[in-house]
Amino acid sequence: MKSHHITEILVDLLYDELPEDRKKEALAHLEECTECAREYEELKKTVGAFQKLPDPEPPAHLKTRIMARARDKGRPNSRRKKVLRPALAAAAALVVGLSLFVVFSGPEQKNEVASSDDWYLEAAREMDKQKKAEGGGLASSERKVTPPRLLSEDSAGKETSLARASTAGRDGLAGATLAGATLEGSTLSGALGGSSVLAGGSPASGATVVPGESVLVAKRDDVLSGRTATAGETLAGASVTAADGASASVEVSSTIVKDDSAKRGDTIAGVARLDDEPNGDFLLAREDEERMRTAKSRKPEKEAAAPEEAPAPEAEKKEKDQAASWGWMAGETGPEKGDTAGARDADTTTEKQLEGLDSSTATEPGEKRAEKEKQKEPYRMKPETRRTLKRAELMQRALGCRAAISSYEEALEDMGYGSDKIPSCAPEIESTIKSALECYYKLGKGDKALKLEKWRDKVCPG
Amino acid sequence: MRVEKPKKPLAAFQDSSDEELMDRFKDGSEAAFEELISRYGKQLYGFLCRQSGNADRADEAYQEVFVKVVRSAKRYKSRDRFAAWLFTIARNVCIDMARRDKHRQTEPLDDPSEEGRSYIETVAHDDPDPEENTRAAELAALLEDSLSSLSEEQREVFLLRERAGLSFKEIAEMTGAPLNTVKTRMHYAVNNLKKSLAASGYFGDD
Repeated sequence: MKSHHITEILVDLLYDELPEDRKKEALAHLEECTECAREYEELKKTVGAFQKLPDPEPPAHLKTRIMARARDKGRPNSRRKKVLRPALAAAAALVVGLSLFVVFSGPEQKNEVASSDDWYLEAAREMDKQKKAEGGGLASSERKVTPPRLLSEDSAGKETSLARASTAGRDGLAGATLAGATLEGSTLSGALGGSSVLAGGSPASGATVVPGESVLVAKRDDVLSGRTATAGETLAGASVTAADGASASVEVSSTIVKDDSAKRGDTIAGVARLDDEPNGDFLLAREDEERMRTAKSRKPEKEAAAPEEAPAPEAEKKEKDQAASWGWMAGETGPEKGDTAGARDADTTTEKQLEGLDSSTATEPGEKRAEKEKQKEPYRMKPETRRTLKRAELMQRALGCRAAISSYEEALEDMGYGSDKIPSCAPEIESTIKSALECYYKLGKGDKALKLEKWRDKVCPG
Repeated sequence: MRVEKPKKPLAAFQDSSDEELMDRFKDGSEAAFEELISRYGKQLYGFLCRQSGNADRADEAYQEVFVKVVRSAKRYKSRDRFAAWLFTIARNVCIDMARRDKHRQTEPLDDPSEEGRSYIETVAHDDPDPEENTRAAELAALLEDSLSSLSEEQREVFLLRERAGLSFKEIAEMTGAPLNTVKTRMHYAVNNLKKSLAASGYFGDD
């Protein structure tokens, strides 16, 4: 009977893909059924014939060419690597240098920072002039700009592939950064005149490096906290990352100020995380407002705990310090290392910056706010994570997704990706996910993108 | 059922696995890379010939695959089986080439009259007996013809399993198709090949 034949499983039998019991049954059937046995033999012969089929020999010259490419590219000491290494080292040195600078530059180092900025601003202006004079292209003139501190001549020589290594490119590297630049085959010109520090923003007037954070670039006419930024100004803790949207972040700062939340001595650390979407900034600003309010609302609670006792001088100082660094007050643990540095350094500058602002306190009842915050537990990005993210953004602009993706992944892991703990949705997380996804798509890593999308849906549903 | 790898290993790498060779290549050993080409070159070239349809395109793809191997070496993780990784690259190169050449129809594998060399010309038959050589060449032509008559998906699964030596699971991962779909494609591929051979009298009268 045809229905008893097992032809449909013969290929599975051939490739040993049947469960043991079915395999035994099939083999037993083949003993009895000549038709199936013949069919099976023919299948075996078919496959056997193809297995014997010789493969064509690849032409010898192909191997020679491939080996030449391998020699050129595959080995760590290849010529190409030799060319690229200084450039990459320069990029890495820049990132590391800035990070160290950011971490270790306390108030006592301020003069040094200012002088560095002075040089930097001067260099940037020079480059702007050059750019304008040449119709916007990369300066190819012989005009020299003061060499940089961050990228020495040693780290970016004439022959490096940054900016295709012209003399002007080297000078440009000096003053500029990698923002917006593309290694190899592209130009650094975008970074030279048009942008300055890592943030890839505008000419450097008004820009400076902020301890405790990464790099801040403010445009010349940006309005910060209700007034115009001036060159060399330190914008305590504020973080502007995108090239053209500085004004959006400024608006966020203004929002807070208008909201009467900040008071003299406050820092506005972490307020302005600039994204393409102003709403994202606004949300973050709201979170910061919320934290600050909560922090303030705790003060009376502490006082209420010991109403009869006058606060000890040390405790009083502690509270005062806490009040001055409201950005970190919401946390149960103390401020982290980077934050502390940022807050400490920011004290003096933000006093100036925020001088004249209304310092009235928030009016929402403390309990309600505390309860609200307890429910919300907003995500706070660690300074290290912020730095990793900045690095990723920088790498993406300068070197592309391939170079940036591991930093994005690192930042995401810091945010909780891959762990059981799901953080609360925050604009920083969303934008990091967005950037990482963009890279995954570009790199054709669909499976990773899918996994990340799933996580995003958990973190930020809808 | 698996095809034996064509091996003429360099003495230094005789006992090294493919994955170890890749690690050595990542560390700068050119010889390790050469050994990998020796191990997989023919197999890969055969796969590319059969998938792309002619030797000229296979030449191009062959170079492209190994250049990609060189470029991606740093991202290769030795926990991944090298063969699966290599043929994943090869498959992607074939897909890219097919997209590029979309306007060109795949020519029959053994039709030298059209543009490009027929790759069957390149298959060597080493038998000293000329008659046997002719017979082998005829059989090869028959087999190649049968292969080319398969649907693209069936041919791909068959070649990856039979010529590249990948498991069904690896093929499923590589192609993104469910495991059962891969097995079904294989089932149809083998049966269709058998029919082609039977129609040409390969199995004789018995």
